[in-house]
Amino acid sequence: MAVSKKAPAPRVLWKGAISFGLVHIPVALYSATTSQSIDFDWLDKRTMDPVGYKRINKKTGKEIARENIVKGVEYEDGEYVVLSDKEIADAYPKTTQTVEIESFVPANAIPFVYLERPYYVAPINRGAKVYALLRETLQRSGRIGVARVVIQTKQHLAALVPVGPALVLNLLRWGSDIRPWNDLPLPSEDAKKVGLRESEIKMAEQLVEDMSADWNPENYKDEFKDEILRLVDRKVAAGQTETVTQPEPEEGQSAESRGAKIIDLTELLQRSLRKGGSQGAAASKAGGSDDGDEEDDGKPSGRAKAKPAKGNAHGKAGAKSSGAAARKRTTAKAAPARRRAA
Amino acid sequence: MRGDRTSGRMDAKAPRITHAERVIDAASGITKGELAAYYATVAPLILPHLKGRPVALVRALEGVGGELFFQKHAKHSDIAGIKLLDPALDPGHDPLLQIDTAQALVGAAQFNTIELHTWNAISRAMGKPDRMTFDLDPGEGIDWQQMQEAALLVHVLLDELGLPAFVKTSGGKGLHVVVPLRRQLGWEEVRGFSRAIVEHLARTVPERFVAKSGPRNRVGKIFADYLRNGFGATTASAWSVRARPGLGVSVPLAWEELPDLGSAAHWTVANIGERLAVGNTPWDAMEGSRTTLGAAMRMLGYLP
Repeated sequence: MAVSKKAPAPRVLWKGAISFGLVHIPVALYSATTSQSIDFDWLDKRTMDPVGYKRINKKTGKEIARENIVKGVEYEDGEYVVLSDKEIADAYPKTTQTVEIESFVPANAIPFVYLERPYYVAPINRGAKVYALLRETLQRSGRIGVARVVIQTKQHLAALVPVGPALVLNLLRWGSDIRPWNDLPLPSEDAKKVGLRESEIKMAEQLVEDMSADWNPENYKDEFKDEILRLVDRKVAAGQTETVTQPEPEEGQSAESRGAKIIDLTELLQRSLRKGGSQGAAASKAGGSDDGDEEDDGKPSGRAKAKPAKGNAHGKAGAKSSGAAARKRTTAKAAPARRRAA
Repeated sequence: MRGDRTSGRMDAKAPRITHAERVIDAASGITKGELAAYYATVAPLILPHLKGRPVALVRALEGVGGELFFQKHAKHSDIAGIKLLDPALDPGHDPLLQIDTAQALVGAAQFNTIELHTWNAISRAMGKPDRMTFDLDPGEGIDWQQMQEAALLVHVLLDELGLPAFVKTSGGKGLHVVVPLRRQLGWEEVRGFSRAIVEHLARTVPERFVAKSGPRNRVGKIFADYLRNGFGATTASAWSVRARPGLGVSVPLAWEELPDLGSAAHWTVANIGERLAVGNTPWDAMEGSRTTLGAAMRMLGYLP
């Protein structure tokens, strides 16, 4: 299933508008980063079966069904307030679909510690010209926008920064998320008080001068990742591989087996069309008649009771089911090594 | 006086509701009279979805929980203002029905209609459907969050195929996704392609979707029902009440609203008031986005 990732076409994560004063620039957000880290999947060393998680009741040690889980907030030691999914959903900020710029600050005014996740911003709906105007103005004035934006039910503070041809929306940490440095033994900012001599500073400056360079991210690689990938390739070449059979989802009908992350599935669907037509699709020609005639099946009745509404809870990262597993162990079958980043 | 005249005119046309006080849904306590009043209120919103389209009535003589009658045809109807269509449209049957006016709509409620289901084609061009409908139907054990995600995945796929997609609550447990079409292809092509889309979904994300109907096939999965796209098939209309406990209403949504919605029966006859102002606006772009299927068929490798 998991194959090496080809770079998927950029996917719009959010559509809305940059807004300040009376200016309104329709834009879309795209992810500016990809995760390239290596996935180490857990396997049972005796059988090479995949290893997964179960949600358990910590007191009884027994597995607990999804519908029996509620969410609580510990307000003091051992004391909880339980919140329903609805109550949590109601507390979400209202989506405004705008990047609301509140002020323009000097580009170097925000310390690096505030920077969190970057998104690319691109114009849509004929917004290109006014987009370019804002980019140009920010570049000339050396300022960046400080904005509020709601993305997927979460409100963020963000900086709108011109970078090359793009405007980048860099999410910022909130001021209250940054720890004060008061308790750290930091030397005074006053060079004299710390006892720095002019000659020492000169010498240090000279050293920095000698080591000056332009920033070139390509010069830097995650060597650990490369090392692991080389090792994997060597083992594949030597035939030292294991076949791991994922248990049939049909069997272990636990909530976990359906827990694959929606983001992954979204990508899977997008990729599914890119290989240029799908295999089986052509098989189902128009007029296939094996699907039964359900023309009067309006399905109007409903015995089923309405289930309690589940809010837009953040699904826990899904772990694979550990149901009765089809077990297989083969060695030296040069199966392509599973890797996330290649 | 002016007010009197207008209401007088309405009264002359408005059908009398008999047994208005009869409770038709024990869960909500809603009466037959209140249901009729609901349809009178939403008439401006639901009529654009009914007008010019064959309609099927789901009638519940004993209210929710009692036996339901699914009526697509009638030789004769007592419902004032309901249109009986040319029998040639659905050969071998009595005439199909069509509701174009508030009078016929409320009249249908007088005759114990709870749900209104429409065809995917308009009556004057019955050979060529003008939309494709995917009825996302949760199997046993599917919770609402998975339902929401499933709809988003369907949206992703349709989006990738370049097809416009609009969503509404079913008013029951599921969601309906509608793709507005230009009337170019026949029923077989449209249904065949909708089936290919669902099969592609089920093949690509087998842990979430099945392409086969039947309760046993869909335990823990979602069936994106393409059978709604055949000749004669119908789906509950936007703003139709559902004959289920609580009387949910099928309501057009903006995709952005979906993640925050609590259930497919979020709106009901009892609380629909808050939604009337939004009305059909989430679907404003539908008419303008009618599409052909050629490019999408090629992308999916589907040969009609």
